Amino acid sequence: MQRNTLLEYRNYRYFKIASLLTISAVLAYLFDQPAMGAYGGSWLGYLFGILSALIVVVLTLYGVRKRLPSIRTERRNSLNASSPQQDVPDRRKRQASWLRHHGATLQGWLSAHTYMGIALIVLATLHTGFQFGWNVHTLAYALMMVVIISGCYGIYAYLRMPRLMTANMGGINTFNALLLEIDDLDKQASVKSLQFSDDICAVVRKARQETLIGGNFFRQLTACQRNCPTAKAVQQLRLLGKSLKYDQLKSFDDLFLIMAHKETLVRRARLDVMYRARLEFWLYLHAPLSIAFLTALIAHIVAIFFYW
Amino acid sequence: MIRCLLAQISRNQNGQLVRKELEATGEAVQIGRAAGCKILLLDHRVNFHHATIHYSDGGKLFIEAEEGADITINGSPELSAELSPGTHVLVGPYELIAETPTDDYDLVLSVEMVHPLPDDHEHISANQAPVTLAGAGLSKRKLTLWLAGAIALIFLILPMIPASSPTLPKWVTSLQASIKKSWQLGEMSRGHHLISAKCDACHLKPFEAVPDKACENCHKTVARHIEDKTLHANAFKDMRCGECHHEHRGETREVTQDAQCVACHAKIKKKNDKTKLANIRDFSKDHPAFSLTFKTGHKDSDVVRISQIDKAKLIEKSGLKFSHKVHLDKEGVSSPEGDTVLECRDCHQLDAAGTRFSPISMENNCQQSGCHALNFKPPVSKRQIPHSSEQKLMVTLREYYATTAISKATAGEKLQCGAGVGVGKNQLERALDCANHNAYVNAEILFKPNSGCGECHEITPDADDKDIPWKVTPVSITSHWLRNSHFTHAKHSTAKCSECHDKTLSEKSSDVAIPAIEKCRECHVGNKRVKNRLNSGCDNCHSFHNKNAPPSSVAAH
Repeated sequence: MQRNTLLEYRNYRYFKIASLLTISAVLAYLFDQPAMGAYGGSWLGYLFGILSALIVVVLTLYGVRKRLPSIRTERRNSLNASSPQQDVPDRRKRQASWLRHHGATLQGWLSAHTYMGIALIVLATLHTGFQFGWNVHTLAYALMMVVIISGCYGIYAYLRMPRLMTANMGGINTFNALLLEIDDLDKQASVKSLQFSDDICAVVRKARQETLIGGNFFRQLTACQRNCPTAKAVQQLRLLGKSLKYDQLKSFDDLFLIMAHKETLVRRARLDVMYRARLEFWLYLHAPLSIAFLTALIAHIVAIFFYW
Repeated sequence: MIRCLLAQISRNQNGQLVRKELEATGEAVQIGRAAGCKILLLDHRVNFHHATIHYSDGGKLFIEAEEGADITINGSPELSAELSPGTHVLVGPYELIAETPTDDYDLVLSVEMVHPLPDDHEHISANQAPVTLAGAGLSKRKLTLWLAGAIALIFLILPMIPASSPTLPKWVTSLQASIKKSWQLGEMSRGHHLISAKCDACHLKPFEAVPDKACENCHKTVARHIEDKTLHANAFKDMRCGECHHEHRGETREVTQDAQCVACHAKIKKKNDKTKLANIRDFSKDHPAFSLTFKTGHKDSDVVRISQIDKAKLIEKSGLKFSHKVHLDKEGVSSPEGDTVLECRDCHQLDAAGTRFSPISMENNCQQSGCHALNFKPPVSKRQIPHSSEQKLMVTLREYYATTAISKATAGEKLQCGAGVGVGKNQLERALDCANHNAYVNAEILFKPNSGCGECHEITPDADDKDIPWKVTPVSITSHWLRNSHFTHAKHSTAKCSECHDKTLSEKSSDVAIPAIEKCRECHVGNKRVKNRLNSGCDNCHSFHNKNAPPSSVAAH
């Protein structure tokens, strides 16, 4: 459903607009033969530059719009104020209609943000005339490309990750519930391990004390703990169990199953952390670099016109 | 035998202590998780067999840690210690305190769990590694501020500070110059490399396009495009140099390109309906036939341009009679050195620039091997008649014949004059008359239309001048046929002269042998690539800045 509402918004309205803009720009670029070769200073180059800058403004406004939820309330209030004489059912009807419209508008903003952002790759590249160098102009272009590419990843993540997260959790509702279940298993394993030798007990203890879920940036993104104590404990228990006496085997099987179950849950917890990190980390590029890009864009425009 | 009373201390729901006593008697009292231990401590932090209490040889009670296990006695780690009353022993999370023995028991030990395991979710969460990126210390806001701040400082603020500000230290201005380069769109053109660091040499005012004045500060003699001042002003109005000469486009891109010429010349007739120029887009497609420049006088401006389409009008009036056919005869031409085969380069020699040819002269080209000697007619003397004006020629003749006549008169010899010359005059007067007569007769022969001077020059009778009644037509040889273009012969040295200029059968000097545009198109094409052809732009042959026009700076004011 999310895919439909975001990318297929209003029968691909913004896809069509962006495609039209992109194709027109490419055709204009191909047919135009500026005297000094293609570059940002030809009339078409300036046109591409102005269009790109306008698109950047629209894209930035999405960021502002997203951060101002009060607009909805204000607009709704003003709408209500304008028709106080209407009866309740009618007003509710209008409210519902407006909300639908307004909700769609916010999604429409994102749909436009996505497609216009992708169109910007083409427009801005044509604006450069494929002339790059070690200067503030190419810096602005490079930052813009990183912002757009990270945004593309963001769309992919928003469309893909929630399904993976739901599938991964396997019926457990929240991450905290998962942590509690792992803790419970730890306790059970600790109790079970008390009757066994120090080796087994130490392995179980280490798995309880040293198993990490989450951690630094890279651990969160990779869902990996090198030499994971829990995974290692399961492997070691498999070996240690071979030397046990017959009467201990039943209890040991229980302990082993607890640890194996814990390993599965730990993996799930780490994957959940990973999905959430991957759902979020691109924003750490997208948002700061978009402001950095805007600053570089201002420097680019000032530089062009300062030394016109 | 150790009689031991074990007092297990725990706390009820109200936090009050609950004491539960058990008896643990044996030869030795083992402490650990193992089922056989007298003091069973069920915690994974306690070893299977952790420690043993036993009597020493001296009859005292000792506690001794098992191999690999740790115990703490009164706060310090020990392997063994005497269990005197008041001794605190830490075994894993349990604290064992030796109390005062009673009559029934050798040892009374209280056991209490002092380090219980965390059992609530908040505690688990507190010890949990970060599971969000924000928790891992990443901050979008900080990153934004740092990045945007750094870019604004380095690429926006620093480049705008005037470099000449005396308040700034030198290292700042030098760093600033480097940072300023980050504003440059691209490499400077080759000619401007020297001023690449001096932005204000061209950009006189911020936010103002480079004015022509900045260019004219250095380029003082650049000519305007159109000779006519008014027409130039109308055609270019407020157009700046920078509109054609785009800087910061790399080493070789600064000069104007064909498309800029075509922008006007493709519809030049629409722009100016009085123009004689043809609309042109490309050398291959619609460049008109060449117009040759014919001289009509001796001044540079005395010229007329005739298109090569008007073949009937392509006649050079040089005032000379010259047959290339005779001079380029494969059998050779007769000369004092015998028959000599001449080549084009024997007369036509490239100038120092390699573009056109040095002017032809009688002395250097026609008389070089003794050919075309200017003898007296009849050959009465070995002296040469000067290749000069009619007056000088007559003076030479008169001088010679006067000297001869006076010598003969003085010597009493008979003067050879025509009948009736000097009759009735004295000897000296008669000699002078005779000399003038002979000079005139000789000149009459020399100025005949087809011999003497008339062999090469066009001679017309001049009835008004009784003294010298002949006129040699002034010589006017065209040296630059395509005056609005530049052509370098040196660059075309791989071709034979006759490939372009076919003069081998030309008998008249009026024949013009400048190749038509079709000849050029055999090798040159316009801007569209053609295999084995040379792409040639407008500036291959033409210069925008017309060398015949005064500098732009003069035109502008």
